Amino acid sequence: MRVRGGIADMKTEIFSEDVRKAPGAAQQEEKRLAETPAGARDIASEDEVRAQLLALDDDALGRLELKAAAYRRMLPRQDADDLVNEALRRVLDGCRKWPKDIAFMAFLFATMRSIASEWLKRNRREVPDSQIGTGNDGEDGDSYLERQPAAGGGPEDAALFAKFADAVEEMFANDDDVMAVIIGRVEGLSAAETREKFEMTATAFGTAQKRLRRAVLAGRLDGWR
Amino acid sequence: MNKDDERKRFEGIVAAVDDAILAATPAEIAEELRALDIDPGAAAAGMRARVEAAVRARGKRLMRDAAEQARSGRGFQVISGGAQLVANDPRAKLARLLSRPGVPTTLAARDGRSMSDADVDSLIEDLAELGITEDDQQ
Repeated sequence: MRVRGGIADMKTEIFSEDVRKAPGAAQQEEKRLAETPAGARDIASEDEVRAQLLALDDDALGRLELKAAAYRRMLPRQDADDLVNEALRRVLDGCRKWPKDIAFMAFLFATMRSIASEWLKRNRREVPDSQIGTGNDGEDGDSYLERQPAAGGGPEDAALFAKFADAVEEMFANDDDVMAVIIGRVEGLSAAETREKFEMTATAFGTAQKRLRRAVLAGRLDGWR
Repeated sequence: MNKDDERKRFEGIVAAVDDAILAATPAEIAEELRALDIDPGAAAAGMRARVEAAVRARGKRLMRDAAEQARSGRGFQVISGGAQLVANDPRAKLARLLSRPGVPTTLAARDGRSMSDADVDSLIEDLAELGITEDDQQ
């Protein structure tokens, strides 16, 4: 039976101190990469990474462009534009190693996610107060995070991450399927595990992913403070 | 919730968006690019150009690093993968060019790994841009 109405409880469970016990898959992956001894995994050589990049087809390149577009909704424009280049640099330089048991595009996206997280913290300290609250809501390029107040580090960093997450939660407060997709990811579940846990059909899971993707790409986050 | 927890929460949500992009069909990707007023063909071409530029930039950094290593006096090794160097072999050509006066006389293979054929060709092209070719010796 589907656990309708239980999302709020699960949010409390997941988006709370318990999150330390159930890190998201991205974190699990990075932790695994960091903790796995060198040589224990099949790591791609620089030549293999370069060949893989140069072999990306139009569809894969389109997905990268769409990912960049999503980041334009989350990061200051300059950072969003630089994000792809920085990810490419890091994987080509070997700063980020590609374990070949991970799909290459998923690896690229995880690299971009990690960099965005780094830059998000940095930007909080760099956005001047004069750029905050200028009343141009909804204008193209006025990303959610650009409007966040610039302040020092520490607890304010956590507040910045929380604001973004809260905004997404609020957007989908009445959409259990999308919340299930999100909670499943934060918990580190696979798509199949998420569907099983929330008793979702593959179609319901897929359409929920589509709603999440389109909402972020459409910039609906921009309407929130 | 502490800072690390909030970061995990943020990254989990972004990862869910990533999954959604990866799960989309090619038709959906094209459709959603168009919805953002981005032509899918132009997007792919533009992204391909960025990838190729990044690969070229990597080649330049390899050359710069090699020059740096040369200045530090470390040993030179252009690994040929066991093949005998012959007169028209690009690796042999690169070795000859790098041994000329005014050019770094040593080049360490990074971490003992061999340079790819593309790296060798790229370095030869970079040297040519600097006017260092074998033509002026003939």
